[in-house]
Amino acid sequence: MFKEIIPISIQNTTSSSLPVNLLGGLGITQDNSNATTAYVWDITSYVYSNETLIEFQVRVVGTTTWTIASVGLGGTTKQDIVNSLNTLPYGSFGLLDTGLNQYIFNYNLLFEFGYINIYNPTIVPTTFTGALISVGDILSFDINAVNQVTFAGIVPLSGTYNAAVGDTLNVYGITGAIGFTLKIEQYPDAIIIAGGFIPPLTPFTYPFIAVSTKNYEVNVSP
Amino acid sequence: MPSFIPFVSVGLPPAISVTLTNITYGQFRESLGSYVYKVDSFYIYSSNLQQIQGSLGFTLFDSNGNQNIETIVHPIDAYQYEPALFVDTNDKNVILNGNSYATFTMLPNTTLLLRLYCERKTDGDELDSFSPNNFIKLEDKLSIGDFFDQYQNIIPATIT
Repeated sequence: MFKEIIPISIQNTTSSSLPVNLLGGLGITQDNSNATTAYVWDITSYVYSNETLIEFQVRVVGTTTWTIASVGLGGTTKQDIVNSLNTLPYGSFGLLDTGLNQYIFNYNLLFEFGYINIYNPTIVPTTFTGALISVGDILSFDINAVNQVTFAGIVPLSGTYNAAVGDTLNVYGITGAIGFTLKIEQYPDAIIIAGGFIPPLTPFTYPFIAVSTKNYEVNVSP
Repeated sequence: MPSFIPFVSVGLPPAISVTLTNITYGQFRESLGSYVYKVDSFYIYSSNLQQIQGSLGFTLFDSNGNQNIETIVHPIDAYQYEPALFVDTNDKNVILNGNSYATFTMLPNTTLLLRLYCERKTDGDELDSFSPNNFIKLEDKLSIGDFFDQYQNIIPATIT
C-alpha cells in the first residue's frame, strides 16, 4: 500500500458562505466545484406565508425535458429555503444577501435550472393586476359562488384571494364604453385560461377549477 | 404562490475553485474508485482563521448501502493565531472510494489549502504483492529497454 500526499487548493470566490461537497467520485452530483455557469433567483420579494413546499425545474445539461423536483420547506426564512434545497443532490445552493436584495444561487455544470416555486399545495391563490379602463366596467370574482371582490369603474385591480384545491373560481362582469383585454393565466406553466379583447358593453364569465400546485393571475389591460 | 425565474450567467469564475498540483480535480474524481485512499491525517491552512475551526462532515456508504457520517471536529487552540491545523483521522473511517464525500462550509472570499496524507490502494497492488516490479521484469524478459519508463504507480508530485 502506497503512502501519498494529495494537496488540494480550494477557493470560495463569492461573497457569501457556501456549502462545499468535495472528494466524491463523478456520481456525487452535489460536487459543483469549478462550475462556471451560475443560476440566480432574486427572492427579495419572498415573504413567508404558510408555504410548505419548494418545487423547481431541473434537467441534465444537454437534455430538453424539465423534471420537477420538490422538497419540503423546513422553516420560515430565506436561509431555510436554501437549506432545504441543499438536501437534494443538485449541487450546492447559496444565499447572497446584499442588504437590499437576496438571491439564491447555484453554480452548476451538470444541471440546468428553471423556475423555483415556493407554495402551499393546499392553497390556490388568484392575484389581480392591471386596471379597469372605462366607466361602466365591472369585474367580479367568486369562489364557489361566493363573491370575493368586485371592481367597478376606472380603478386599479389588486389583491390576492386564496382558494382551496377543487374550488370553482369565476371571473365575470361586463365591459363599459371602451371594452378591455382580459387575461386569466395559470402559473407556473403559463397556460392562458382566457384571453382576448372583450368589446364594449359585453357581459362575460370565465369559470375554472382551482388546481393543486397552481396559481392564477387575472389581468386587465386596454 | 411566489415563483422565481433564474438569471443564467455562463463563463463566470467558478464559485468554488478546486485545483490539485499536477492533475485536474476532475481527473482526480475520475480516478476515485479505481484508486481508493484511506486518509490518515490532513493538514489545513486558510487565509481566514475562522475557516479552519469548526467541523467537517465525511459521508461514507458501506457495502449494504447504509450511510455513515463521520463528523471530524477540529477545534483550534484558544490562543492560536496561525490559520493552520493538523488533524489526525487515523481512528476515523475516512476513505475516498468515489461514493464517499466530504462536506463543510466555505467562508466568503476564502482560500483553503488541504493536504491529505493517505494510504492508497488499487487493483494493481494485488499483482505487486505476488511479484513486485512486474513491469521492470517484463522489460528485461522482452529486452525492450526502458519501454515502461513513463509508467508510474503514483500520481506525479506525490511521495511514496
